[in-house]
Amino acid sequence: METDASRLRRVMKACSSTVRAALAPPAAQRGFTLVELLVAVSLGSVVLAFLGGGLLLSELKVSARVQRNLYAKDAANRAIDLMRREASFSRFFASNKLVFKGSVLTDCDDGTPIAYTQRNNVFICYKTVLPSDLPAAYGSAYQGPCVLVRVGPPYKPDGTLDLSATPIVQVLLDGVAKTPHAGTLCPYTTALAVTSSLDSPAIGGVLPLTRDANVSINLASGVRYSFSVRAPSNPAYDGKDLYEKSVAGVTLIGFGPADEASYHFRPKMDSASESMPGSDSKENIFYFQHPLSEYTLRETSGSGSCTYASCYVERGGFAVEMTNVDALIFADQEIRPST
Amino acid sequence: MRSRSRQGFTMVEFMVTIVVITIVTSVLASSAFRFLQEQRLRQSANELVSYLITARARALREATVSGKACEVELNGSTKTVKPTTHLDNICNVSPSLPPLDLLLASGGSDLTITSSAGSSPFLITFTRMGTVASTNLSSATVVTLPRIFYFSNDSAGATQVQRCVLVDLNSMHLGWRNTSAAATCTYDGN
Repeated sequence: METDASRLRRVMKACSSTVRAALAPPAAQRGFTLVELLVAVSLGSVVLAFLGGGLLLSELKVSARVQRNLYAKDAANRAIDLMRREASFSRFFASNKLVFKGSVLTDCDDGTPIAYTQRNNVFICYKTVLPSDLPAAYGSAYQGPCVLVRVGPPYKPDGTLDLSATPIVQVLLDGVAKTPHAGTLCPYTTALAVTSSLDSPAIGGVLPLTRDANVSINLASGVRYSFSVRAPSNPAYDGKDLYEKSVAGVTLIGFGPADEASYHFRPKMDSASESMPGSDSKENIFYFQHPLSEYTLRETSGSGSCTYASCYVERGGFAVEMTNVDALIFADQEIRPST
Repeated sequence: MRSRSRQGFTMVEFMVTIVVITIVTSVLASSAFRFLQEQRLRQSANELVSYLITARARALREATVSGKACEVELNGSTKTVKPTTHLDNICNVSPSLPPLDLLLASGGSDLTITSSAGSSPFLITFTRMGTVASTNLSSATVVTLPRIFYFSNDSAGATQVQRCVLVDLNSMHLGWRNTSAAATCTYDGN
């Protein structure tokens, strides 16, 4: 039989273990150990470092790309300006060297798309090549797809052409477009195109010499640069690049092949009246040595004003009578008679 | 009796920790030093390009009279780039283009500048079209393009990474090469 005392002791013992159990913190509320905290902090910092570093890097890359794009645009503008300047000081512009007489640059003789311009016996050509065709010294400086290069005499510090130097190949512009299927070429119409705004018919598949051309350059970025250029009036009367040929008893001085779209006449102005008929199917251009103000222009020797059908030009007792006159080019300006 | 987890570090554990920390720190410090060194080279090269761009802009804007150009000289021993004193140099006309100390600009302590051609001082002449001329105002020597300037550190323990500045007719490019691995430079892409 259990005594009261022993029952009391049993009850108290049971109570105290319950109280102790109730007072002990549950496992979920015990907090982190130092090791857990350290692991968490180091993991967190690794993640943050990756994110922050990635963000910083991408930010740097974007600003570098923006900078490069600005430089590229600047370079493109300067390249186009140089081309325009060279073209506008030229006598002629063409897309193929076949229309030129005489020697042309050998470095432009390789079938890649080419635009030629000619000053007084000075040839300059622009062509598009692959970056891999550039000399090894360029390394990866130009990335293409195509690169616009200039072949011609280099420039002296004073901004004039160094005519005594041999023509050299120099890079003008990077990032010129190329169609995906173009293979190892930088195609003509995609990269660099020259069209004549006088609608001259092509000769043997190539555009003839023109004094009036549209040039366009397409960049891989989708930007398209184009400009029109017009050879200035009578840039040099001495015309060392002219060759003489006789047509129907008239001393005709012309350029290029006989079937070219334009006839170029240089009246000798050494007789009281010389007759110079132009051709119906050509553009007839007449060159004069002196400024327009020194000449008298009439329809015929007696009266009228100069027209396409008939034009009479007189200076100091010497005169020439012309027909089919498309353009009269004087030392200072050029005029197109009314039809 | 006290549990084992409350005993603290032993001397061996402590020493191992110190050693590990020392190794990690020294590796990080040396790579950080190399990184800083390379950044300074990059900075010097950037400074040169930006100086040349300024000179070119000035040539485009101010060399409007025939015969004038903007000519600068890069001196390899003083690490300075400045306009030459040639009479036709519009960059030397007041206010002239201020000289730039490339070593000072990068905050570095050593710098060597060499070129793919010619000897110091290296002359660069910008024409009024913004192109690099085939000869210089002050010298009739023909300038071959592209022209590359190499920036390197020469102190003991310096990296073999060099920075390259390629100056061409119409553009300038920044690149780098590892002299132990490659002879040509790799340039930043577009």
